[in-house]
Amino acid sequence: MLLQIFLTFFKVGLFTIGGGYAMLPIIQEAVCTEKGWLTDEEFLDSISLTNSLPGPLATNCATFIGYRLKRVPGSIAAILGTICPSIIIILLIAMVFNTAMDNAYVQAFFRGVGPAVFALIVSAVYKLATKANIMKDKLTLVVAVASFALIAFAGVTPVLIVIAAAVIALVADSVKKSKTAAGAEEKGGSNDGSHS
Amino acid sequence: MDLILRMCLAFIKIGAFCFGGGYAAVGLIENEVVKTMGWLTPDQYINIIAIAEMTPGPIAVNTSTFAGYLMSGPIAGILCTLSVILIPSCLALLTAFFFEKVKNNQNVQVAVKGIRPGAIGIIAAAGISIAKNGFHDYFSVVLFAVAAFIIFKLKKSPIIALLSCGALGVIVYGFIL
Repeated sequence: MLLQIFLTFFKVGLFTIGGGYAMLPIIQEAVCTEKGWLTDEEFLDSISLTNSLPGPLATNCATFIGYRLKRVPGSIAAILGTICPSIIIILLIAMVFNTAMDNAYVQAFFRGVGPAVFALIVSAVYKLATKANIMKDKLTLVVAVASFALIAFAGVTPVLIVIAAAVIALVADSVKKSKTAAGAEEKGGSNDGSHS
Repeated sequence: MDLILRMCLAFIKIGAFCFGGGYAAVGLIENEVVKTMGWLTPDQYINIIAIAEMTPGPIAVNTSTFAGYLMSGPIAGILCTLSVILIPSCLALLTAFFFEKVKNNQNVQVAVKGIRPGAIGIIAAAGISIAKNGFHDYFSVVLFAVAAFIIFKLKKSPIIALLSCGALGVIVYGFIL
């Protein structure tokens, strides 16, 4: 069983280019449809939970599913399965990388790739900004711009930014909750503090 | 040995604060490994991102393996990768363990959603250094426009953009200039 878990996640790691969300349908196909280890609903639960964690979504999801199947050894088998293809492929490329970079055409290739990498960063920022609804939510916009400026121009460590952003969100949420609770009391109704 | 230990600690920290998907890791690694520690040059790092995007697997894992290798060989590559997933995996284990209790914890969701704009800032800040080092001449601006067109207008995979710009680079820098 452990070997099966390892091989299933190895296949997932090997065949997903792009990582993250591109991996989820492939994990679902392998774990739910092919193997029948989890129901689709259990799979969705596992994603909505691991989605809140830091780190790569694919390895978090693998850890969670591996645990449900075979406890801690299952988790380890699933994690190793997910990262082994990456490690093997990248190490093989890395070994020839420095030699390859002596070639003028390879250098020309990577000189051309540089601006495209910047375009990828722009696209990642754009996607996250859209997802966070940055144009509608003023607080989100302020936190994003302040984070950028503090890291880029004031040399603040991102660790501090992550902690501050979480605290600001929690404070803003509790202020909003107490406001809606007060508003509901005035109307004579009760509010359980549900929020969007 | 001392260097590898410090690298592992750096990648454990990166993993613990990496909210918001693969590119958050790209931003954090840039800040820690390139800007703060100077273990890799910005040029090396741009090439690492390009290759991590073009090969299978999670981009955070690929970037960590490659960065570790270039800093100190294959063992460092493997150790950096294990370091970056250490805390996330432990948290995923705890989540699986306390499944029923954390299922509906709203505070966690509020905090995680709140970190998103911070992650935007982290990635955008890394973008500055990548722009500074990725643009070499006026033709770089053309290549950026081509890549942006492929990603935003044609909605094609980033890999197509990287390969197209690389091919244009070979033609222009290899044969014409």
